[in-house]
Amino acid sequence: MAHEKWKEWLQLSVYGELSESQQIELDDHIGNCKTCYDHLEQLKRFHHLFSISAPPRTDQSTLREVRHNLHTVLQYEMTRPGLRERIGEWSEVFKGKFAFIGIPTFRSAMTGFSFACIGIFIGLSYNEPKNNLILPSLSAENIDILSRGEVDISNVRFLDLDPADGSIEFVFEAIRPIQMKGSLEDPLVQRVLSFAVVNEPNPGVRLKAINAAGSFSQTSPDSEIKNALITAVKTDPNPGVRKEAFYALINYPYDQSIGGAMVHVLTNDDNAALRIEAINMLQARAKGNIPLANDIVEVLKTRMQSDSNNYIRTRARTVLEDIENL
Amino acid sequence: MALDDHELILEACKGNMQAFEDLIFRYDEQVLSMAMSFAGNVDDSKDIYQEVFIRVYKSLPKFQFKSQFSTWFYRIVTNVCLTYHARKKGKSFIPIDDEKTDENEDEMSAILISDLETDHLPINNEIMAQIQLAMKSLSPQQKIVFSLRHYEGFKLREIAQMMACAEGTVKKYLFSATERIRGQLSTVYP
Repeated sequence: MAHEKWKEWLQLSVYGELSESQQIELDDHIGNCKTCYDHLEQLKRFHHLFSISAPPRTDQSTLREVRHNLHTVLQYEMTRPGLRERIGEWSEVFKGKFAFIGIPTFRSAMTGFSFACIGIFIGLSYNEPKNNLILPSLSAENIDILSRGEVDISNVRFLDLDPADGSIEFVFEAIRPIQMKGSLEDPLVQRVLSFAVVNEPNPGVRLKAINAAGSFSQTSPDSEIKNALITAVKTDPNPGVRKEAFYALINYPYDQSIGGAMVHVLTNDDNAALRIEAINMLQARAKGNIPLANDIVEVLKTRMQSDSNNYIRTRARTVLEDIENL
Repeated sequence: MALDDHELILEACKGNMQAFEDLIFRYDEQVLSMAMSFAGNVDDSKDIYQEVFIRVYKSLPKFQFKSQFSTWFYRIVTNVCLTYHARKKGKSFIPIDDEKTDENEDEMSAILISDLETDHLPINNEIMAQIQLAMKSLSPQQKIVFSLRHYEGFKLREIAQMMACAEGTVKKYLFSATERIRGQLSTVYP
């Protein structure tokens, strides 16, 4: 029994989980017990093996990639139809699949079950977002567009595949290129630009969208585009795109969210050029006698002490001196 | 002045996506690292990462500040890891060399000896590969406790909070995991 206790304590000791008094007690025991001493040495050897064989830490490019993907998924989550709409869609599928069921007793049971479901659903639906799923039906004009092959068809979902009544029913997404010309003040233009900055798979297109968004900031700041630029600065996998987004962002009036983006760049971005740009921007503010927030000062101190780039360490020190002289 | 977790959560619950992202960026590097040490490959760890934050996004409005955000958050991470493992197991077949049998040890020693002879890999990578192989024989609970303690440096008390179980249970998982891996590696690293 006693040795069971020591065996556990030996493991806890290697993990540094023993209290001070327990450790002293164990040390006394080890001094007199060869078996426990040998066991401890063996445990230490294996713990050393574990420590030198830790899996590699995740690299910044993977982190940036997963952040970018997550951003896209979250945007989808924000706009997807609520539970009510989804149940409506499922019920259509259900009706299509089980249309052959006409037995009265089964129908009665299903009616009862449906009422129970409706009761639960009404309770749940109070908390659901009020998104309306509008499924446009095909007009003559749309059929004409389809037949000319001007749209890309994707995500086909069948509602009724039974041809018994002479027809089938399905839903699909028809993507059609739309040409648009409008002022940068136009909310729709802004929305499309914001979407392109964050979601376009082609980095060249993202860059063009950022350039357009950057010129927009000269007129009046818009939070949707600004947020898209902040997201790009923080998560875009392409350093060139991040840099352009950064340049576009600093044209906006400085506020807390832009300060947060600077902190993020200084703390997380592995691109030294971008970190230098962030320091330049902060230095311009310090020289303009504008005080910097505490978290920015703390990040600058960290950069001054531990940045891998010598130039950045020096620049961070200069900015901190400027702040002290304010 | 940067917002603290509490303020960011309140902002995020109002629908402020920027606040939500600022919040998750404080934790996500470690989540990816935890997923990586648990899953052992990049693709699965990316899936775990995404699932964790979607769950956090959906559950955040229900967070009532009765516990630390980090405790609540890491509980989600461990749950996702465990359920991900179960789901994956349900979807895919288990390779015969993943079965928990003593024959694994012989097979592993054979691989080890051949690797040692060829000497193509740095020794640490080789040990890492063998530990990863040995970890496959652990239960998901043992594996997550082992990863959290050895690779992420969490204390047993913290792991118990994350897994919503007693500290004694965590000790049991950890000791049995360590013993199992030690037993398997001892054939090659006595």
